[in-house]
Amino acid sequence: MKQLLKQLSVPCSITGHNQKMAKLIRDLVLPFCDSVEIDDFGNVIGVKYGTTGKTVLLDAHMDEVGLQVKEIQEDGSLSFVTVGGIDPRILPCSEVIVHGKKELYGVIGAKPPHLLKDEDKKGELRIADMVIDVGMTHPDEMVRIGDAVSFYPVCRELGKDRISCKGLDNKCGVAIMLYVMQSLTNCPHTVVFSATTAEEMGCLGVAALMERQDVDLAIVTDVTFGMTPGEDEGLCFPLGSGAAICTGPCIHPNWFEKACKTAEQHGIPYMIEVEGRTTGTNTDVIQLSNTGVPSLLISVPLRYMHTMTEIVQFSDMEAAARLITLLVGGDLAC
Amino acid sequence: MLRTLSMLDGVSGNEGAVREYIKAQIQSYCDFLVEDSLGNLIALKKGAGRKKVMLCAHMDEVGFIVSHVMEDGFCRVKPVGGYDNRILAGQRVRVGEQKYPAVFGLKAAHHTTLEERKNELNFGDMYLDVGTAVKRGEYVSFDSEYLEFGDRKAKGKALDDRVGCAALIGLLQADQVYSYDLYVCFSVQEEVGLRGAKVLANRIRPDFAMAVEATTCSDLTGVPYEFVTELGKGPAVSVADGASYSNADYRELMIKTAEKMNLPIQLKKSTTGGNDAGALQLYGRGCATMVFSLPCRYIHSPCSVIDLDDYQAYCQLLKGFMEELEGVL
Repeated sequence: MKQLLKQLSVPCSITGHNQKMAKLIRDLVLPFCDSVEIDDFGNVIGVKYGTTGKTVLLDAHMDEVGLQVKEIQEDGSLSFVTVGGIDPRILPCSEVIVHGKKELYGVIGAKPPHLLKDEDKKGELRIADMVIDVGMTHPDEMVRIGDAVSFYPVCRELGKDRISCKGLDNKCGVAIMLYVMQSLTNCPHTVVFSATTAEEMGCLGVAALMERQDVDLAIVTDVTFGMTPGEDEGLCFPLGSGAAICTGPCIHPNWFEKACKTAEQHGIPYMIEVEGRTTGTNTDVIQLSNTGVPSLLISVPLRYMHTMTEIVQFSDMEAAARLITLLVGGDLAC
Repeated sequence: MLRTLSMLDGVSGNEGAVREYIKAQIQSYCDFLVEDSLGNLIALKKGAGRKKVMLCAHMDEVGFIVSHVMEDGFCRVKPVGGYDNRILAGQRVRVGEQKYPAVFGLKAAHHTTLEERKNELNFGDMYLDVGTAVKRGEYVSFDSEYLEFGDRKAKGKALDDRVGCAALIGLLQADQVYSYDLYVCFSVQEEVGLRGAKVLANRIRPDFAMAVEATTCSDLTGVPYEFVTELGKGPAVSVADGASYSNADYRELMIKTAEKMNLPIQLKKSTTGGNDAGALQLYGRGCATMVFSLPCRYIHSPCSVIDLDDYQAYCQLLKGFMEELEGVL
């Protein structure tokens, strides 16, 4: 799982620029499927046929947040926009890769402290005031407006069981679903694996997908908020507490109960995540597609979401993977 | 050498690793090598005359120190040296002798309001997420790889002032003897108040001293009159800064030397900042000082950027200037 996650988090998979990631995921899931395709929207769909006539969808979004080149300035620096929700305060003096004709290393520039006037220090940090420095005065040959800019990938292992990297939202989910596909050796049902795109822009990929899929159960993996100092206990989960099983209007109540019971029976650590309205994940769209789909959302806690240094704990991912494998391999009666 | 120096950790007060590396590079090239009680490294190349010239580059870098250990691998830190707090959120650092990887944590973007995001993050609200137990007093430095990119640019942490250290090592390794006694000093604790240099000035009492530094370069993120220096236009000499006034005669000599050697040179266009020259000018017996710097974008950050052609000119001009000095002293 560790190696898989490291492999997945490195390439750029910004919404709209994730063709390479789609191909990588297709190649990784191929050994466990009867057929795999990348559809017109860019989603990766793998199908493993079963005999019971029932179909389960396993979905994880594969796109990540990032930046995009807006303009090439006269001095060779690049102005940019964000793709997906990013707190501008994490950007100054960050490292990026500009995906132009070649991959170019860049630094996001901020004014040095000696030159800050007091008003500057108090002011809002705005994307419009920042630039990407690729160390060239004329990058026009290498870079075009619209090129994707991803966070520079540095994977570090923290403590005994944690990893910090960009893109763990939602490569964790993708890694978990790949692991599940690998484990489902004797599953009697048809399983559809989907690595969908454009979740960060409003769950668009999965909406396109569901127009053509007819499923009896959908399980979505995504990330949820990891507990950090100063955060609300109702909104976050400590790392190491296991899988977060969601409940609320978007989740099928019987399946929620079954997921919790299964976790308890098999000694899998879990917590309950409560979402009173929508979950902010692909689940919301899947539940309402076609004539309605019973849906489950199982997440892992993640700290510092949408930054270059997201952190997750492997034992939480393993808990989620084990639980999903048990649920899908079972009798699907609910 | 620049790569090795940049990646060594030497936050002010904890410069040991940098000092040991420098010692190994220079010990065969000096007549005396002394480490004082603060940790300053002093190398003497005895010359023919009675004048004393001192060159000074600082070994320390800005960083942090663990001040309070919290649960679940979190801790709070205090700053060591000055930088823009706005660069810290989400940065990678490493903690202690074991170099545990850690992250400067902040509240998830989804849980902050637009209003909250308009406000600068308070240093007091920031914390490190280490994931393992650490101790109070452990030093923390930025976790940043040295790499070269773009058109002859290099990025790394601590280029202020490892570039100065590298230039001085190069000068000593050229193994030249001058008509004056040359004291090549690698100082400590410059970032926390020019502390090492004060002690050096008292001890050595030079006739002329020059700080060999890195300086601010905001040519991409400032308006032209705020550039201070520009990358690609060569090393810089100062007129005055927040801590010292540079001697005009010696500065003229540096500029003439650059012209003679056909090397680029620029004037530092601001009077802010401070460096060891400030201490060297006022302590000991007081003396004429100069500041010779390499322009550095995003100084005091994990991704400071220099131009390698500037760096080459910086090293060559330094050597040339030391020779020209013989005619003047």
